[in-house]
Amino acid sequence: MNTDSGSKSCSAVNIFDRFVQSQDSSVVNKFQQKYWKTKQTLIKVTGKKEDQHVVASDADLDAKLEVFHSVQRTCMELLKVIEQYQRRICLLSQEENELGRFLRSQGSQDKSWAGKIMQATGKALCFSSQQRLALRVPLCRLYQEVETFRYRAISDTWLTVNRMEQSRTEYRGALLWMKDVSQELDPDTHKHMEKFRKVQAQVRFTKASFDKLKNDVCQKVDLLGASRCNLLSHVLTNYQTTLLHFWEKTSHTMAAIHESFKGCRPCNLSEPKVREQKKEERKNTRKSEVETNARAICARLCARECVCVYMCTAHVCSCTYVGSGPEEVLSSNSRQDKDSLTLLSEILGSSSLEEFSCEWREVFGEDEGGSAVLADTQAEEEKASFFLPSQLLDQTMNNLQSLSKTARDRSAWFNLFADLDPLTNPDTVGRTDEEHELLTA
Amino acid sequence: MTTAPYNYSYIFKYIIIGDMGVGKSCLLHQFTEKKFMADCPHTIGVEFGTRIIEVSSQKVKLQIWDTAGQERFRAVTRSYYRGAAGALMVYDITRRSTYNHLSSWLTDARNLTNPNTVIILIGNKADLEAQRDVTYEEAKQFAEENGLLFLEASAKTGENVEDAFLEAAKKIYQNIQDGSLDLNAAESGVQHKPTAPQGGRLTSDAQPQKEGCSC
Repeated sequence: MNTDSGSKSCSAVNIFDRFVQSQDSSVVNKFQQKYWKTKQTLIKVTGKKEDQHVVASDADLDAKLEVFHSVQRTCMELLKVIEQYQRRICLLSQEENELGRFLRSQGSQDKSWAGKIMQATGKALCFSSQQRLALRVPLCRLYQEVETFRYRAISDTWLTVNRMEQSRTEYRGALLWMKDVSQELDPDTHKHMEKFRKVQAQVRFTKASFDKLKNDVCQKVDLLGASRCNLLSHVLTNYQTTLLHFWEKTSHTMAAIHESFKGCRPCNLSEPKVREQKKEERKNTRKSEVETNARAICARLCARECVCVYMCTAHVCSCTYVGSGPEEVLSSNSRQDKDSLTLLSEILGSSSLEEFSCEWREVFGEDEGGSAVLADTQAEEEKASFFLPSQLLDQTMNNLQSLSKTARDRSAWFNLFADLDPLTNPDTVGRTDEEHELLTA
Repeated sequence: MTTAPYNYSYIFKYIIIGDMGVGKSCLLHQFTEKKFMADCPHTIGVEFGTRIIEVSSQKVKLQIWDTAGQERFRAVTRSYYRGAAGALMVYDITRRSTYNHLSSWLTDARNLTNPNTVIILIGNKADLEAQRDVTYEEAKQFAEENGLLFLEASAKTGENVEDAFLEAAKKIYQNIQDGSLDLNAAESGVQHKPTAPQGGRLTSDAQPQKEGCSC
């Protein structure tokens, strides 16, 4: 007790008193403790208003509990989303494949150039549908990781939270008891003091246990948030790479088809206009023209066959890579006489990933402008991040100096992760060349 | 401090209130034990201390209730204000926030005690002049505006600690003398126990010193 040091005889007697008490009345004591704990439980369960000061003193703990429940909930939602997404990929791939086969079969019956285009496109679509299925692998992995995270990390934290809540009920019950005993308290009355000391001991004990569990919960929730960010950024890297590869391959294929067949079919395509546009493209900065061109060309193709519908939605139309010199037009004209099958194998066989990456960088540049476009795309389609959250963490830690440009483009992402990663500071994050590395991977 | 029972004419109930960590328990300990308690654990609910002092050649036993400052105990400690003759409202001169919360403590004190209760404002940790965050003048002004006695003290050095308790006692005694404090009132906070056996109440406490000891 606090002020014992001076009055040793006094404290010794009191300790003895308490000892005697505890021996005699342990049953009574336990009963009383139970009574007050139950009373508190009832208050909690019936939602009766608790003492504002007691509640206020737990404000920081309650905030952490909010975070925890949010993590729990969002993990569940993420799992559902992944499940749905996987299903849709399958469906889409199926449809794509059917369309491809349809085009091929129809195209083989048509002896004109339209037929050749249809066959080539059909084959490209079948190829694309195959490639699309590859996306399921990293998604599956993500699902498993998040599921494991739920079963291990979240449930462990949940157990600690429950223990803390139990302890909190006991502690608040003891406080209620102390309040009750304090109504009639006279320090000069021995009986009163006995009772009071008993309650005081109970409060002290439950307070210690609650304080410890409170700290445990706070630490665990912080750790939970940070480790989830870590997990997501690791697993999503794979998904991102796979997605990029998918786009690379399929968009290149589509672009090549478009290029090779350009200028061959007069209907609905105004060639001079296309050539003019190409010249303009070379003059102006690619960045500003990208979207306009993409949409224009896509629209043209879409008018004929709904081929580029996927690419259109992605805003990263392969058709933008049309920017070619006159030599390529000639060479594409020379391919007119080749069989569409050989043509396709040529297209698919060529290793053009480097070229693609170059073009990508040319168009989108190495700064955040491009990836912001991509980021928006992703935001529309999936909840998964195109930008690596681990970069947020790493870069915030390293206290980066460089690229402070267009951090506002990232704001949507930061908002998404803001409540998950307590260490994120959206205003100071820039970008490095990691995006570049990925593209050339 | 004498141990002879009934060697006092009056018992004054004091309460010590204020934010957590301002030094309430240390002030009490310094007053009753004349020692500075460096490692002071948080008070759970309330602790008690007593000392017999002399006011106008009258022996007065001070029954001091050192209340817990932590917010969670607020509902509990509100029960202790009842029947207090004097209240020591303590803040820490090195922490502004403890001074800012005084109005809340004062409200409680005014609401829960009777109008004659003597309230004295104590600015503790006066020895830490280098870290002072509240000036003497502004606290003095606050005290004057609210009709409070005011002293800056240091539980560590003992400066003004005795005076704090004594000043309040003097004021209470004065109130008794000029009749503003009715001894027969239920919650005056003062018990009149004349030393002569035929007068006053003989309560059941066999050893008042022991029970009132702050353990």
